[in-house]
Amino acid sequence: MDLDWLVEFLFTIIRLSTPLIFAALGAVISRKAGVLNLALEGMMLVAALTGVVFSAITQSWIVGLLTAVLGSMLMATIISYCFLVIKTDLYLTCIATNMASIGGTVFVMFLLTGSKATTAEALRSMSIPRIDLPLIKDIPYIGDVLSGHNLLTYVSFAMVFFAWFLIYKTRIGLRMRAVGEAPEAVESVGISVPKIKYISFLLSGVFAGFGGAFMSMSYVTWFSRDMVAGRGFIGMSIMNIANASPVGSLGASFIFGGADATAKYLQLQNLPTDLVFMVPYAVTIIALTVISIVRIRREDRIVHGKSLRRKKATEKAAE
Amino acid sequence: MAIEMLRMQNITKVYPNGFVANTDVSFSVDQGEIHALIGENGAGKTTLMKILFGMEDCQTGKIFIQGEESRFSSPLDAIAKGVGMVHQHFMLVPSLTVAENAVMGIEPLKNGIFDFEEAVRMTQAIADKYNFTIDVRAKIKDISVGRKQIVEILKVLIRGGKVLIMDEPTAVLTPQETDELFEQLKMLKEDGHSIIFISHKLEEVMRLCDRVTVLRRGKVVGSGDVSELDEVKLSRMMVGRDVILKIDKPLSEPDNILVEVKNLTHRSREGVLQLDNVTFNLRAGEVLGIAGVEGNGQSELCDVIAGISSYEGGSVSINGQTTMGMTVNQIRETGLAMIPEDRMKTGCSVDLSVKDNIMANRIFSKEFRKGLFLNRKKINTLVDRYIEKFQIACNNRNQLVRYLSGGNIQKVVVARELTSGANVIIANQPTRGIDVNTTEMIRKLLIEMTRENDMGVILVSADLNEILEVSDRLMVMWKGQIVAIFPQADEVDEETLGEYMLGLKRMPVEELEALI
Amino acid sequence: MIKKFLNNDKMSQARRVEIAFEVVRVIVAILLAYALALALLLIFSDDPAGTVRQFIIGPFTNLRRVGNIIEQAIPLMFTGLCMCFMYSVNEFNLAGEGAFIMGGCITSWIALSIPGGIIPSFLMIILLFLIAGMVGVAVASVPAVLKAKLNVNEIVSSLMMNKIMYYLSSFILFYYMRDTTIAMGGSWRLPNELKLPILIPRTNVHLGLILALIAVAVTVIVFYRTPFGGAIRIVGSNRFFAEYTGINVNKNLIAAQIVGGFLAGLGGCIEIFGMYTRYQWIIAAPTAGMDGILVAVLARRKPALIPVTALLLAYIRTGADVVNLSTEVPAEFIQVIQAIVILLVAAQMFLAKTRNKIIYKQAQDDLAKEEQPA
Repeated sequence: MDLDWLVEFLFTIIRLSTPLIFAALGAVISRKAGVLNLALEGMMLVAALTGVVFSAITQSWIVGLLTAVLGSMLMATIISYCFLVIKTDLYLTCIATNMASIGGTVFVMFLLTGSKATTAEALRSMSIPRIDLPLIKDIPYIGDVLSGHNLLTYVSFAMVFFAWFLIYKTRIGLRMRAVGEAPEAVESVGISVPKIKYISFLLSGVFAGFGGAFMSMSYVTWFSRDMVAGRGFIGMSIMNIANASPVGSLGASFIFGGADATAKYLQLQNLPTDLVFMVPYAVTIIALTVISIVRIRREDRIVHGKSLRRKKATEKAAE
Repeated sequence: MAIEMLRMQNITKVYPNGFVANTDVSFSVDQGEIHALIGENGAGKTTLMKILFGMEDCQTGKIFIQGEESRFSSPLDAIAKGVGMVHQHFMLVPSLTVAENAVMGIEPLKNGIFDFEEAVRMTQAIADKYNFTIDVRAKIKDISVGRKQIVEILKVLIRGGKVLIMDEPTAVLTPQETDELFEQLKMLKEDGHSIIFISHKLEEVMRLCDRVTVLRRGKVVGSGDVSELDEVKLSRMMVGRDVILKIDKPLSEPDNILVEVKNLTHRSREGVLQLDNVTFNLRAGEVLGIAGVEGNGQSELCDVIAGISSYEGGSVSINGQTTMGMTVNQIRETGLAMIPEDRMKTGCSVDLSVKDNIMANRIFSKEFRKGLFLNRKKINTLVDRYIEKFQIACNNRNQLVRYLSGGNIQKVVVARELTSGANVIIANQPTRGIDVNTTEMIRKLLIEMTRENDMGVILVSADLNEILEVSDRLMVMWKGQIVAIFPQADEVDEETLGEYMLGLKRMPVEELEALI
Repeated sequence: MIKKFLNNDKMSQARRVEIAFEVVRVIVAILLAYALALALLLIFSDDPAGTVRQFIIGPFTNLRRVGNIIEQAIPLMFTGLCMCFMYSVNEFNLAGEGAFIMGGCITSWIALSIPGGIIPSFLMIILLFLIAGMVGVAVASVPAVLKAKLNVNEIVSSLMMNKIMYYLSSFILFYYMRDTTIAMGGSWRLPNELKLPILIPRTNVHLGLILALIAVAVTVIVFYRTPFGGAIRIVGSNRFFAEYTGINVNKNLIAAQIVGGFLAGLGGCIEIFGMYTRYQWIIAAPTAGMDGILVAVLARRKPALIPVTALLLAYIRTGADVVNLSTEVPAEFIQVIQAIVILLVAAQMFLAKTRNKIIYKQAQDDLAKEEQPA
């Protein structure tokens, strides 16, 4: 067994999981307040572009990262305004903003660089540094897998804990969970439900902002058209599979990161690239399907009624 | 002279859909007083209280708290002024604890983090002060309805509430729980709290309250000291005419069995046993009433019979056909119709026209088809006939149901279900929250159907008055079981019924079997 | 006319105000977004006056461009109708995009694979329409069935499906029908005899226009004159109610989305054989699938209004294309404008304050009338 290959593969999984972890946490935090954030995709895309543009202007990755997060939060604010204040349908709002993000980022990119495909040639943007973990990096194999990742990868792990703490240990978390479960109860004691939803959406934007920044400011340092490529939706699916648990989302993210890494590997094996590109999306649909079947089975087992009814129906048919 | 605690002056409220809920209403409460606000459903009581509690705004009018003019733009403002509300539908988060629910909005913090232990201590202190026995660490979903109401009261008291608005608090309680609640309310009154008691049950008002204000169609039609009024006067004020609460009904002559339910067992999606070995028969020509505190399996029983939910044990047969494995539509074709519990959610579609709503259960029927298409002429004539027959007040058959009043919406539901050709009708809360005239009409129709058309009716109702008046036979459900059957509903008194509803008493199995 | 409408005695006052406001709202939303588009052009263009003129009048300056509007409206009508069906049962199934692409791709491949002359071209084209429709059905049914049976979020699954369909069409193009003699990625030339006939000379307006209008008419009839239409409207407006009245919710949910998929697939095929000589949708993937959302939202989900809204969007897009050709402003800005129109039209509270004031006034008038003895 070639261990070097395995080390590299595991390293790639962690790398590719990072944006998914951010996206999934974004989905989790808004889900807790009873909002499905289907606009993660657009938020990440906007963050990726703002990060590149401002880091190129200021030549500072810190400013780039901050503006990426701010860009994503701005998107969250716009969407919140639409569905909380002027009362648009949430799903429609998210679809519309995703649409606008794809077109809008290309529009802005073209105005700034004259290219509709990528900023690679025109903008010299910065990258967020890699971090070598002291001590761990010296452990054979394990060090090679765990150390030397981008700073944001470690931030994403920390964020999992942060999200958990926020949701279960703080006042705002308590209120968010209450809003998600019984908004009228929260309303009745004078807490503004829209405000709580807005805060959770804004936090969702913060996570998406980090995810977007990772896309355009870590392993590549440019923005390209539609570069998030569905990761926002995969993040949504991860949240769903993990039942909106932050820690569960971390685990599920690695599964999807693994699928992504496998696709990358297959690409090197002379398989048709178009078929390989389908892998992450196909895995998403399959995973959602499987988890739903498992959940329904589990419910059925609790309620013997269903299976019994089916069994009896077949027995009757057999007679 | 009593000190005035609160006064509402010249309140007018028009909803965005043009509905005028309150017209020039004035009303006041003194310190240490229980003031009843009564009126029929839709008279504007709840709206008035929502305005007082800052949940709705009003176009004109002023609110004074202890003589000081106050404007409430949110419940927070009202709470800050000491006004608290116990809602008709509990405003509690089921998966959180009693303490967490009680302190929601004024959560204690320690180093910026929510301090659960402090929340427990605060809640316990208030509970002890007013002698409420409750486990403050229990989760809401695990406690009884009566306890939930106490949590609601705790929520108001913990915020230093001086005025309690109780919106039909007894609707969900048994007679015994009601007594307990009244004792506690009287204690709060002694302590100097003011209570606004919203109800349409006159007997309770006479028993508990000091003063009363009567609303009709959004206007104040009378007020005064309870000691100077009686039930007859009040009911005349409420309705504008004398109400005949008794229905004359010809004797029931039960015939052959229409519905046979045997050892029926059903669990919820979470695995909770909701129907536990239920056995009964429904005969042609009778109204079978099912009494019980809400949430004891009555609604589940209706849904299971109608095929909305499945069952795991036992059997149901309608007109001799067993319904195991049938779809809702197949079950309906065996001769079943149902007036569902929640008319807005499951009884109609508010975004469709009166016509579409009436046609909903027969849209695929060959009778109304012409080739591939719907036979519009035939449908229109039929719908117009029903609108007339059931006195549905609408502009025309194409009016959207959302623009009708609650009573008329229920008439649409009743028109659809009673004309479907079925001989078994399940009526789940058929008159909840609608005006007296429609209520009377629906009750009479149900009785008429059984007497003249030889149909059978299963009536589920939380209104004890209704269940005792309309039913021929009466069953009581408790925790998913049938605990009593009375062959003559009009011979049962409320106290006895209450004991069975609470599970304090139950008939022995042999006695039940004999009465099936 | 508005006055007559407002005095119509058969409707309640509030209802009349609501309908009148609905119309005003949609128009104001479009005008606002249009003004924003103009503002964007003014800011980013070197020749603002010229650009704005191009954007507004450009589409009407010659017959070819007027033709462009109609040509662009044809696929939009199909995908708009598709979204009408999806919306009719309240599902946000966005697989219309994938269905549209695959409908075009698979039929191109089949047309290229079957040697000419075996099947008469008239029969062949009808066969291709059917196949395209069935491909659309296959694509749209995946999210539909997963949602109905397993409660998988249809937005996520349909968007994933669209991505998969995009790469699948690319795979089919490059591995099975690529014309290796041309530099850009495209298929061999499609058989000439299968091309849809042109209706208006000197434009590309093709038979698809008539087919699209027929599709609109059929949809209207299905919606309002058949039991199936009645059932999907009941399911769409309140599915709990549908379940209680014995209508099979899942069956009708899936059926409506399948019909939607059929229309989108058919639209893809008609677009290819009406407008293109080769299958080449990888280079410039059509956005008609997602644009269908806007068409349906603007039409307030009423199929009869689809041709109007499709033409409106086609006009704006043609304007953007004209601007794109003659100035430095990329056509992508239209996507932003589109999103804003969707949001404004969908905003319940947009102009709601004004509406409520009028309703309050009228309720007061009614009260005053009531108080007076007759």
